[in-house]
Amino acid sequence: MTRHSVVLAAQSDNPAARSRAIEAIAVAYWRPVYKYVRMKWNIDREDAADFTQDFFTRLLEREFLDSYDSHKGRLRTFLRSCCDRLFMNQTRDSKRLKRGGGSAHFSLDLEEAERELAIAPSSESAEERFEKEWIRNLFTQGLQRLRASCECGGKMIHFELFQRYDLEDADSKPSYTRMAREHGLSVTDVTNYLAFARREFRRCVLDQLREMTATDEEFRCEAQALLGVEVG
Amino acid sequence: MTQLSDSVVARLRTEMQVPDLEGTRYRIVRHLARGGMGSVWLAEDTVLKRRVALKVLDLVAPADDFGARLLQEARILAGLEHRGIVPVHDAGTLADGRAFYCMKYVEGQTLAQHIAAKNIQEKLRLLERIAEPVDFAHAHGVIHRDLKPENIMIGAFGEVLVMDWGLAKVGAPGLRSAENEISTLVLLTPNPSRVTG
Repeated sequence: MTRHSVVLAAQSDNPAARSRAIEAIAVAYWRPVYKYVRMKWNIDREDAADFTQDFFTRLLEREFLDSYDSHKGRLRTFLRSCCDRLFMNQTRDSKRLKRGGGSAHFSLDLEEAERELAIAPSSESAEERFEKEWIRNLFTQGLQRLRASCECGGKMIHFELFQRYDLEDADSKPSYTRMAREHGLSVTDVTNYLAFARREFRRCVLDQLREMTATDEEFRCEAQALLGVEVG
Repeated sequence: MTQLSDSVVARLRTEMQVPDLEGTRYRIVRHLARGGMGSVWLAEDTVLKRRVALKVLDLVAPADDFGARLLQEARILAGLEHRGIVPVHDAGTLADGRAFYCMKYVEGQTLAQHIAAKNIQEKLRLLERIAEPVDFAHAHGVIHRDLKPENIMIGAFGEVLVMDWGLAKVGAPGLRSAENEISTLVLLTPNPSRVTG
């Protein structure tokens, strides 16, 4: 089966394809990496930002990913262990965070990342935060795909209802009746539009996950991890 | 786009697993249990106004293989009409592509939960009632292959039902007596000579 995988593209010999793929990996993983190093080693935000830039620059320069074998483990576990290794090496060599001149620059919204870190549960480990951030980014990117898909298909009302109902915290979400009144729809329409948006969102998240994994086996393994939570 | 909060992400993760029942007569009530290739959900049959159990394949299970297995399980159940075997009502594919079948919802306890406070005579009576549907299945060439306390339900009125035929195998008609003897021997191993009265 042919599959578009940014992981495989990131390992390719085509510099343009590799660059695009690393950019996609950076979008998906910069928050997990940044927050992980902030929590794990208790370094300040500037050092963590430099480390994160350095990490993805090294990925672009083929320092880590060429040795990644999807049959031996998940990409996210591999990347986290690469973070550990890089940090240890830099600490040992006393040249931590000195790179960057002329290297690629990845866009990092540190203010928002710091706001999120400030409200993270204090009992949480750096590894747990890394996992949560990976999932959060996967869902955020799935949401962006859903929005694009709804825009293309003339179904923005479906997206807006989904955003208002499913993306609000439980105590502030509006009722179906209120949304129906405000959008000039029947309650049945609201129900059907939300069902459509949820189905599409699920497809978008799984498509995103498929792209961020190298093989079908890794995809199934990650999807099980993603959906393997206990349901009430 | 605004980042999603932890609580919203947790809710979305849960909701992603809920089967898409669009176009069916069922409405999800709650999750009941997880199995090897899917989950069992309590649902309402909105036409007959009764509660049923839906066994639904996992969203990311390899659809061809596991879908066929789930359908085979449903067909095996449909072919085994016995008071000790949970009846199947319906089977098909949901809007999200997942295979499912609908069966009777059995309210009660698993044998594992039920048996703890029972004495040996009560346990043997239960064993006899478990053996009945197993014997019936064997007579129809079907081996359960996953008999364990978690897969036996004791209903609210004491009815005994053998559940989860996902690993069942349709065998040759001649298997009956041999299979019965093996099952009986295994299950009676804890010293039946001590039974009195």
